[in-house]
Amino acid sequence: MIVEELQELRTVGRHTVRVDGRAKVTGTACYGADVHVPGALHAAVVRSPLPHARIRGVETAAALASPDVAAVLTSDDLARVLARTRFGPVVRDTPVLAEGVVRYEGEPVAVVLASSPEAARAGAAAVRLDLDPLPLLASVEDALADGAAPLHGETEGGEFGGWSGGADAGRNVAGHYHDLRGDPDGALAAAEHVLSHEYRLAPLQHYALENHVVTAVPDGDTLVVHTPNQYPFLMVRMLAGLLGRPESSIRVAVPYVGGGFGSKEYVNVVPIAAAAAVAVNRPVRLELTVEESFRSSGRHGAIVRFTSGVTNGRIVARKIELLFDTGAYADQGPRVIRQAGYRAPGPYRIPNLQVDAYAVYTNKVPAGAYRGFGASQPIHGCECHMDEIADAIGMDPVEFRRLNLLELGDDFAEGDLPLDCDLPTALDMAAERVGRARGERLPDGRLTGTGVAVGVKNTASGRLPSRAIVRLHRDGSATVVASGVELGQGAHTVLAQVAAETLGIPYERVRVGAVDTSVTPFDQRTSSSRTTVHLGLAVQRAAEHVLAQLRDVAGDDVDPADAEAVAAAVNGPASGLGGEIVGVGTVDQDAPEAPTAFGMRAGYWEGSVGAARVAVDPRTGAVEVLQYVTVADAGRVINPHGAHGQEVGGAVMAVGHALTEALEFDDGYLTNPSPVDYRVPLAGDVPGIVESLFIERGDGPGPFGSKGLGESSIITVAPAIANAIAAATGVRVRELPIRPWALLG
Amino acid sequence: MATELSIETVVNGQSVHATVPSNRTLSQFLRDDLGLTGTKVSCALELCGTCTVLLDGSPVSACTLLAAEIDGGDVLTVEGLAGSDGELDPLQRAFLDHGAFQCGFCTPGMLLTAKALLARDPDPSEETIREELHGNICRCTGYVPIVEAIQAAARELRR
Repeated sequence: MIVEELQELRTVGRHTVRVDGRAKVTGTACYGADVHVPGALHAAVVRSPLPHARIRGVETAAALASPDVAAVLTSDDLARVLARTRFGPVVRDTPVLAEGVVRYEGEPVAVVLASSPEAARAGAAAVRLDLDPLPLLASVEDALADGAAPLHGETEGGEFGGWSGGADAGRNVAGHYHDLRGDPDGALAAAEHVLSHEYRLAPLQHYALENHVVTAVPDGDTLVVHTPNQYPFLMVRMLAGLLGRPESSIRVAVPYVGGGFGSKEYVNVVPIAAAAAVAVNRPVRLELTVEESFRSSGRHGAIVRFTSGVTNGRIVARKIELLFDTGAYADQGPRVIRQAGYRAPGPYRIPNLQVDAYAVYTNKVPAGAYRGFGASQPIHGCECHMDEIADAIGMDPVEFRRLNLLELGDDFAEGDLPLDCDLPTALDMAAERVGRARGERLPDGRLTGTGVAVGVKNTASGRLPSRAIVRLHRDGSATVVASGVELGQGAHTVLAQVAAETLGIPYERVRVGAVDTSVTPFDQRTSSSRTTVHLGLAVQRAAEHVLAQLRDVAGDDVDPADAEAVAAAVNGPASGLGGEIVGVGTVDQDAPEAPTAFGMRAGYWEGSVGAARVAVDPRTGAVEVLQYVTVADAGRVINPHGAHGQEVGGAVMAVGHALTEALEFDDGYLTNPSPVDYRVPLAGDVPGIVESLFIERGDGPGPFGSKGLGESSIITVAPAIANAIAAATGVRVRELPIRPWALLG
Repeated sequence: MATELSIETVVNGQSVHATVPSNRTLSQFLRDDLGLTGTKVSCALELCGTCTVLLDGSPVSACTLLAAEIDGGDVLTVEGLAGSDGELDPLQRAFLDHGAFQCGFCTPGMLLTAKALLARDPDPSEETIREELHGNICRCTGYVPIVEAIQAAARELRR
């Protein structure tokens, strides 16, 4: 662990009990399913049984025959209350309910509203769909083939308003990122070694334990939506657009969230519940099953191809092609592939580069945001490719990386923030912890090997806007009013620590209010490892604003922790503070256009460095991860438990991605939408040793020199494990997950 | 239609008499009828352990067990772990002190699974704890701090 001499702080950097802790261990924490609205109708979604079909009819009479069923709504019914019927963050290609065509198995076609969840489900089962099968685009190869029928026509831009560059609906391309630097073809022709490799990564499910749930409540001219969501303000914008209402008439209230990992950014069933509630003018509650959550979103399956030219151990050129299977609707796919393309070269000096990344429409569940947001797939390819090159040219894989690695202050790409994370130091720390093993035999006959991987993610790009309010009450306690969603990552605790530290009051006196777009001020979104940095800065500035007002009234020597002094100040005659001190802090967006290939400057660079030591049984192919080490350049750790929790939790999640998790599609049909067949890591699957190490130099852009951490460890886990397996067995598996049988001769 | 059944049970130390439809699950009974929403439901397939409660001291899945089956039994949910004075159970305290949860959705089930384990085995090995947790999925923490917290609570309880 590297910790430079940092000033000791009272709350920051110390263990604190989470602000949501007591509620979560006593069962009083309120989640989406715990929101109870009397008189709410229960909704169930009628889903397409076919992956691609024309809808000839929806027969609702049998469902409506039940006295418990209040309504069965189709796209025609919703069209009567919607100003527009399609939505989507990048392009508006997603109908609230299918319009004439279904494009994936499980696509919502109708919604049944009934007096109980059981009656709603029975009603949904009674709705008969008359469907005419259409030709299937089962893979990106199918979709890109000459003569493949386009899945979509032209579509308009969505809520993000920005980038949909390179889209070519006629070729089933939802987005194309292209970057060319130097002369890669010329440099490849002149290189000493040229190596090409292709890797395939299975599509994945987030598997947040909490299934999607929405309660939409018409309240006069306001629609209140209670739902676990990482993007409450984008949800407001989207619903206001769909319903043709002002944003002030939509209120999104976010309870505690039972896990997100990207699944709760753009939730495609929220518009269904909202539109249904408006259509019948009654509260509507829609709670999905685990199987339906599998059919809502996921991580892109991908084919990633790398070709590199190497001379004297140095990379002289690299060409990369990324094909991301984005499923039936674009969702955030075009944003994901843009990030993937930008990050794909890896943190290396590469003078000649070409990258082409594509989001490709197929007849599958739409893929969208997933922790790592487009970094994991190309970095997996890049880091396996790096080991394969090192092998081919007879170099040690760590040495080969060290020779090419970008250092602190180097440019990742022209015009972007210089690299502000120390990857060489992190790589040395990780590699040293696991040692070196290459096929040594353990006493039990298993083979051991070690592997490393390095990646970097431009994070919090464009410094998106955040605003926070801090209220110092007359008794010297404080409330943070901010729209950072508590997904479990510990956002509320970090914000409370930042407020307490800045105000100079004990942490225990700070509370953080629940997110409610009618109360808490704008925050772009809870994603991209940006909350500590951006919202944290806004909270710090709000607390400083409080202090400035207090000192104006009570003098520079006033102690904000002194309740009597604060009470005297806020209640004094003509103090102008009106009973409490309200501070406002703002972080503004950077210039939206920056001269980088990506188009925005990184807020900071989230480095990812991992090292694995594995044992493989040569008789069965069974892999055990004996040790995993992850190193993050955290700037400064605000909350040690929270920071280790993000690192270790992300690492174990990705052990699943490396070894067991895959969404299995058979001709467009998802065959394993349950925890029975989709195998996430269980307690016994965790490596015997999991270590998370930090570099802390206080040099991050966030409060007290912090950076974000939520996505750092996850990016390099699978390639580190794949490299360790190859070192142990001599077998290079170019597919994820790595199944035991792939390791058997 | 489901028949109505009369049940008599003890939930978190309190006697409960109720009439429930024969198809009502224990999780519905706890959450919807008794308002004990601390018990969470995820897979509803008796696989993920999220809805674990204790029935006569043994872990059961409230998502699939029928309310009628607890007739005559003694049920403990997460709401019953702390004392009536608000004093936390050593397991709850240890989960707070070790950062053994993030989103908190699996936490009630984890706490109750651990409670049953420590009642049976006051000094479980790390391997025993991991085996016992095999039926409780956590997607956030990577299980490491949960195992540490259970070990710490076991030490506390043995003192």
